[in-house]
Formats: sequence, C-alpha cells, structure tokens
Amino acid sequence: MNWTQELRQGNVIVSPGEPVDQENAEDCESRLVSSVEEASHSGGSLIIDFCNVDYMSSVGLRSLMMAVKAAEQASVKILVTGMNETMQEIFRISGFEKLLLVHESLESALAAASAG
Amino acid sequence: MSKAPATLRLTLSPRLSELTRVRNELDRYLRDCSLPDSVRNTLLVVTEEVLANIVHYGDCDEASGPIEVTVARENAVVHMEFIDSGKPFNPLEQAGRATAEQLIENRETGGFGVHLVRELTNHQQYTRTADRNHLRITKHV
Repeated sequence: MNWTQELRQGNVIVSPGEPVDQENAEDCESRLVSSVEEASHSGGSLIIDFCNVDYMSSVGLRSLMMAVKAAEQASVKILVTGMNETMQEIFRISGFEKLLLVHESLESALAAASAG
Repeated sequence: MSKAPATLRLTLSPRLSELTRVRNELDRYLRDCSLPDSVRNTLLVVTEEVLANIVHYGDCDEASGPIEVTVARENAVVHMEFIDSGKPFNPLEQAGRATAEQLIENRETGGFGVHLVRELTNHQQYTRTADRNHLRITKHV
C-alpha cells in the first residue's frame, strides 16, 4: 500500500494513500489495528487522513470497523479527515459518519486530538 | 467534441482474483467517458460490491460460464448490467434486513455492501431471464 504513518504529539497519523477495496483491505486492516495499538502505547489518538483514498468498498469499511473495535477496547479515539465527496457519501450511507469524528483538516483533527 | 466511447463489455470467471483486472479496465473506460470523479468512484465501488456478492453467494462456478458486465454512458446516465448463469440469485437480496444504523450499532463488519449499491445508484432492477440472472443498475451523472 501507499501507506504513510507518523507520530505527532503522541498521536498516530496514518494515510492509506490509495482506495481501499478487495485488493488491499486485509493489508489496510492489519495496519489500522497496529496503529491503534501504537496510539494506545503513546497515549494519543489515531487520526486517519483519507486524502488520495478516492473510495472504499464494503471490505474497506470492514477494515475500518475492525480498527473501531480495537480502538474501543483500547480507549483510543479515532478522528478522520481528508475525505473527498465519494468518501463523505460512503460515510453517510454506511453510518460511519456517526461513529467517527470527522474533521475538515488535519490541523483541526490534531487540535481536537490534543485537546481531548 | 469527443464522442463517448462505445459500450464496455467484459467477462470474468467467478473468482475474486478477477476483480482487480475488472476494476482496472472499468476505471480506464470510465475515465474515457469523462465522468465526474465522484461518479466514476461510486461505480467502481458498486461494481466490486455486485461482483463480490455474485462470486461469494451466487453459486456460480467455471461450468456455469463467465459473468458478463456491460457499461454504457448515454448522455447523463450510465447504464450497467451484470449477467451470470448461476442459480437464481439477486446480488442485492442476500443481505439481512438490518439497517446501516443497526450494523453500526452492533459493530458489524459485513452487510454494508448492499446499502452502498442501493444508495449510490439511482435505480436497480433484477430479473431472471432464460436461465440467467440480470442485474441492471443506472447512475445519473
């Protein structure tokens, strides 16, 4: 995957960097769950930046749900940002917009992560 | 003024390993149709959901022949059709009755696919004709 990851002020920021579908969803899932663990160890939140993620199919949503479950177990907050029109629609249809904290920008997600 | 390309027709064996090739061909075709990104992206999602359901639940095998997909842009509408020769099966009916809200509440990892297809497109129609399943889907541009 075109995955990038960094740690900022104890928060883990990840970018899948490409659409998430049947080809890479399993890889995405294991990376997301690991980043939840990393966020837990560093005492911060997980921020998922969806820039360059043109779309996610239902297996992509599955990988996201696995991250949500891991995060709930570990008391890690997940914030998301960088969503294009299609991703916003997918989040709305699936109900994920009610499950994850959506931010307009990475800066705003970081501010919220550090405040919480 | 450039013409929209002719109808895309492709076939695939009922195997998940075929989906990457299908996606790549469809992506190329949809880009040639000069559609807005959001339309292209949603059609890529819809295609994967439908084909994955046919492969997983449709009881097609190599003996029943390939799955066929046709895609055509006609002015402000994109028409898609998925045809397979497996047992009678509507790819949009195999999901349970849960709403998306219930799936989220129960932290379910599956079941979102059908919701996506129904909500991302304007019309879906399943018919069974001459021993084949036909799923027609339209998306307004």
